Amino acid sequence: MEAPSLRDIELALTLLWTRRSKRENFLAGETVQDGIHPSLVKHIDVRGVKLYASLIELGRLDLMASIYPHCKKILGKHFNATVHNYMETMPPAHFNLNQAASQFSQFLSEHQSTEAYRLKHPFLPELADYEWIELEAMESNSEVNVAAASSTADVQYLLSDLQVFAGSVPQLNPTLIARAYKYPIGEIVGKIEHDEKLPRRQKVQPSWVLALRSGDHEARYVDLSELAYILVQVIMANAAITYGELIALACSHSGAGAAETVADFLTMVEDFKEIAVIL
Amino acid sequence: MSSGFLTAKKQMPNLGVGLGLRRELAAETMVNKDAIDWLELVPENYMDLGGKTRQRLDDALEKFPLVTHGVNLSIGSTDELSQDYLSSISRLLNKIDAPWWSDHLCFTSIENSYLHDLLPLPLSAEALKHVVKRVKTAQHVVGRPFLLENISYYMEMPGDQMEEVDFLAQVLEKADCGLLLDVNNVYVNSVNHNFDPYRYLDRLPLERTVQIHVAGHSHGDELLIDTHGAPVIEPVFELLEYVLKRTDVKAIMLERDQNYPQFSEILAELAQIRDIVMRVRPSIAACA
Repeated sequence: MEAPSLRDIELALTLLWTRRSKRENFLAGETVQDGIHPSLVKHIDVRGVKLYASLIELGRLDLMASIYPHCKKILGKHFNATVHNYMETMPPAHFNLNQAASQFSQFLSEHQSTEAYRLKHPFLPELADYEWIELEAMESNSEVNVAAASSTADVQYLLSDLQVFAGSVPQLNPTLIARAYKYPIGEIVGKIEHDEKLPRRQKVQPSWVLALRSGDHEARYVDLSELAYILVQVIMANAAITYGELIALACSHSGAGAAETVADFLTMVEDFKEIAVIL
Repeated sequence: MSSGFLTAKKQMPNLGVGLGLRRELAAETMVNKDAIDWLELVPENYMDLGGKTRQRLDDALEKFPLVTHGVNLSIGSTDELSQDYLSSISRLLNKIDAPWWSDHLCFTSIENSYLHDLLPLPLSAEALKHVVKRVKTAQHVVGRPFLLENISYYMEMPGDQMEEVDFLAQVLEKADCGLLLDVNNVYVNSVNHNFDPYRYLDRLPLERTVQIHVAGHSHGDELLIDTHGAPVIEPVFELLEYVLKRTDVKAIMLERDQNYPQFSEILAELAQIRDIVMRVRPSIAACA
């Protein structure tokens, strides 16, 4: 048998440090395991395996707890095991540490080991996504051009000439992330933060949310109506769309009268400008 | 043997006594320029990121000379060197115009997965050859002088064929790169693996030292752990002094990454380092 190569050694140790079942088998004295060169086993330092495994796990738990404090509260004593399963299933694939947490929502929504939590807390994958998008907006590499952001007074000026307004194009905040959730995630987060009891069975109740970073570098969430969410999606898909076209779209989607819809639309634009959804 | 690196070292600036740029300490760091000559940052925390992170970098760049000290180049990994990583760090190094860049003599990734920990390499001829080749490549691609740091290690790796000090010394010489000497790591390893830290230092090509790390450590169940979460102990300061008496270095940096004390305690440790520098090798601080 060939002597183990550097790669054999790196792979074997990585398996023992990061895969609990492999480690347990190794510690139980099993000498033959997939991915571990057989001649290595007797040369591996048991104390070192345990110590590095523990350092890696602690680092991962710290990271996940800092990004997903609400999921941690919901999962309670199951949080650590869930994180370990997640990291084994979707190992970090990026040099940036925070990116190691990026697929947690997907894991919670797909992985068999989380089925029981999904049954009890069906909103859990959306909650994880909600927590993740705050970080994503916060760290987005896009510049929020503060100089381009107009004040409410500028909006009033724009609105004073409706022709000009209708032909102008809204510029969305480039850090913006829009989500349509099946559950009222913002409301659920509020309850978790105030230690309020969540309903035994959370009802489906759609909610629409934006996460963005404003010029002061603070990340924030914005709750939206369904129509506002649709309009944001349309702007995201078509950067050249004008306010006039958006008003027409709003009128076609809204059940209210045209005058009321236009008034609501203009209020929404003012609000969006004020909180830097539109720059 | 002529060394391009040692020639380049002569041109490197004396940065003086510095501190790590950490989010938790950033506000106080920025207003204590009188006591801090330069900052070291973990590039992975800044590469391709915007918002507050970029603002912190820009603020620091306005006030201090900056260098990077990476954790995920993964110089010892048998995966391909990440071109994304090298491109991204090159952009950052160009932005801050760093006089050098550094990372650890370890591996942190395998099969495209990052372990986000500094993992020891087998001290073998194969690993030596592998690391030397990659250091040369990384240094060439990035186009700036590169330093490798000696890590704290908590296990003997299978396949070890030489002592860590000889492995490190040969990597430095054969790859013709610089040393970022962490004197706390030397101390921690000397206790954990029962060797004389002074003899260890004597066996290194200390003339390749460009930067020194000074830090505190913690006591684990059986081993000392390099946590950067405790005050620096006297034997570590003594190792710093020992090195400074033997070679010229360009920068010394205090590492504090957790269990943050009052900033006055950090300033006191920086002052203690500066006292040693002024006593033993004042030229380091003179140009800062």
